Amino acid sequence: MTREDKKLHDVQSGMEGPRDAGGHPTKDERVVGPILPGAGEVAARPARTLWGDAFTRLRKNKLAIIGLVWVTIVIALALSADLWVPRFFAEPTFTGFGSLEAPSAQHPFGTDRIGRDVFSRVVYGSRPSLSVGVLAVSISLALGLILGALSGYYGGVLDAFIMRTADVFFAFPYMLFTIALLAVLGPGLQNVFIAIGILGWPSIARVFRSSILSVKENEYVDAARAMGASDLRIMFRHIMPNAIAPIIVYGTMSIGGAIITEAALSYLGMGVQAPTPSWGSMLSEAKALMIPAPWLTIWPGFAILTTVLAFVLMGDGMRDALDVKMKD
Amino acid sequence: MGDLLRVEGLVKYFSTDQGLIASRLSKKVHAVDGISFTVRSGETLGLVGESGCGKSTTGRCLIRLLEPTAGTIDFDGIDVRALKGRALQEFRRDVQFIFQDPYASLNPRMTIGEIVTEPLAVHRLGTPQERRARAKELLDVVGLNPEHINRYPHEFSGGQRQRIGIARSLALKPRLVICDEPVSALDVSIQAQVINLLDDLQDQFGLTYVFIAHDLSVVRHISDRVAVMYLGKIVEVGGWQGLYDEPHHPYTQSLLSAVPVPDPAKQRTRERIILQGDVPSPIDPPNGCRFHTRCPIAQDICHHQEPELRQVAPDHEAACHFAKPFPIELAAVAPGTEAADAV
Repeated sequence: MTREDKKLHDVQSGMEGPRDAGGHPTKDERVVGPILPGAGEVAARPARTLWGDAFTRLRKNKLAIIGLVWVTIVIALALSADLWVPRFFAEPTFTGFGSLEAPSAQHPFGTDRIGRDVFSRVVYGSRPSLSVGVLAVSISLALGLILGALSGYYGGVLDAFIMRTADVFFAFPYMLFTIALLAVLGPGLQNVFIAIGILGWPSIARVFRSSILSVKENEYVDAARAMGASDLRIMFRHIMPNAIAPIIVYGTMSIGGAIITEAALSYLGMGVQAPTPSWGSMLSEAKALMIPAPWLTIWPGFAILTTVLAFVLMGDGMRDALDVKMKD
Repeated sequence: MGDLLRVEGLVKYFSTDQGLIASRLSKKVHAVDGISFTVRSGETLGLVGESGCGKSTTGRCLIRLLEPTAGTIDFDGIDVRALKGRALQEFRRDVQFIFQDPYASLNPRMTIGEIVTEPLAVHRLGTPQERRARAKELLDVVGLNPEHINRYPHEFSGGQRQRIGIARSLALKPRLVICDEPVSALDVSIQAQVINLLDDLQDQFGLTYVFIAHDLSVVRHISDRVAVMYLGKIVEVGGWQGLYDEPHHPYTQSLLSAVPVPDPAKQRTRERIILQGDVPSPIDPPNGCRFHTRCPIAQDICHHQEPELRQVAPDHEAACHFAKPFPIELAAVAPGTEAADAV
């Protein structure tokens, strides 16, 4: 066949040409027999996606499901608070109740020093925590994935430059760096997103880079290159899907980390500003009253603990679920 | 038949050090050191040698997965090393590669259908439905159940996976297929099936193969011509019959004498050429003939003068100053030492 002939024979023509009309019965028997036992009995099955498979496996992991359920509950409470809190409980900033009342039917979590309902404050306090967790980690992910991908895929001078920059970020104490950034940007929730997000990229970039470095050694990447696939295609079809699992795990877990950082910053007065409630600022306000009014610290503390734990459990479960080679 | 692939003086050096300056100053690994061969249209050239002799590097240079350091590669009149952009894409349609490791060469996150149709998608051939139909045909051709198109690679055995790799390499209707040890990762029982399949496909589609292997008996079955490599050089090349019946280079002779004979009586009594020592490092290959450090018939000349490939019989060349047909004089071989690695 010459080159010109070949172009005329496109996919449409299929393989009828070179193949004899009657098929190839003898060859097939010889070749297929021993290695496809009962090939006929296995019916065709619907295309299953990576995520579909992963969810099936995730469902079998009890701890991960507990985490998932708790995260779902917290998110649902945070989103729906405006619908039901004002009707059955006081607004989180309403100050008309008695000071430091112990938990009761009217105030299930008690009241604070200036007579605000702690329950509604804990419910509303989930909003800054969750949004910081999700948004800050999204910023870190966006930066970290792009820089990590460039670093791991192209290597060389670019890799050295990005990784040394990451080292510089690592060289600063994390909390101190965050506080310094907030001192420049000014306190407030929006700046907390930015500060945590910017400081989070180096670890994500590193995890992704090392993951890419190991994945790109695989022969299927060479195979894609040999068939003429573009860099983008190799990156998105072959390397990313195989390198992303550690990032999903790491990302989920760092949501927990970001919630803790937000709580710490709010505790230090750099985050959410009064009177808007957040779990960290509630702890900060309650620190002098820990003994006479323990409910002021227990409930926001419990909220932080369980929510962070739930994200970590979820991340752990996802790591197992995303491993396609695990038996299901 | 005309020559489809002509390789002239192919050289590939690797740096032992990284970095802009260090890589230029460091010692070079002489993976492939000036080899020339031709592959005729429709034939199979077997490329044989021990691990590290440069045969896989050669294969990867042929499809530009590695950029050669020097030499020319001529594919059907095209200068492969100069190809860029669209022309390179066209070339990649014509030349395909089958990989050694059936576990590493298939993307575990893609279904069989996606893997087999990917070359078509990359080259924008056909609609998704047509590609899928084509994938089913291809699976059928390589002896897999087309119903399994939605399965993932980990659900298949090694031999089945290699068939998937073969189906992928056929999707673009290539003219030349480089098979890089396609069966060495498989069980012996499966090896024969895959080799038979490759053989059938060659007849069916008029393919030309460069078949890389370290197993002479595997190569014997499929090759029309065989080239034997040692430390980055071709030491002997010729039609398989001539090369197997009358090997002229002492290295080829020792390789062939290491192939077990399926007859216990003969196996016990036959003479074997046992090579001394290890393969020298390709970072600092020996002067003169590269084989002289292990050669049972080496003379002074072999230490300083490198032998060129010269014709020893019709369609049969060997690179040895003392090339002569089997059996060679075994006087120089020390008795009773460890067996040569069965290559």
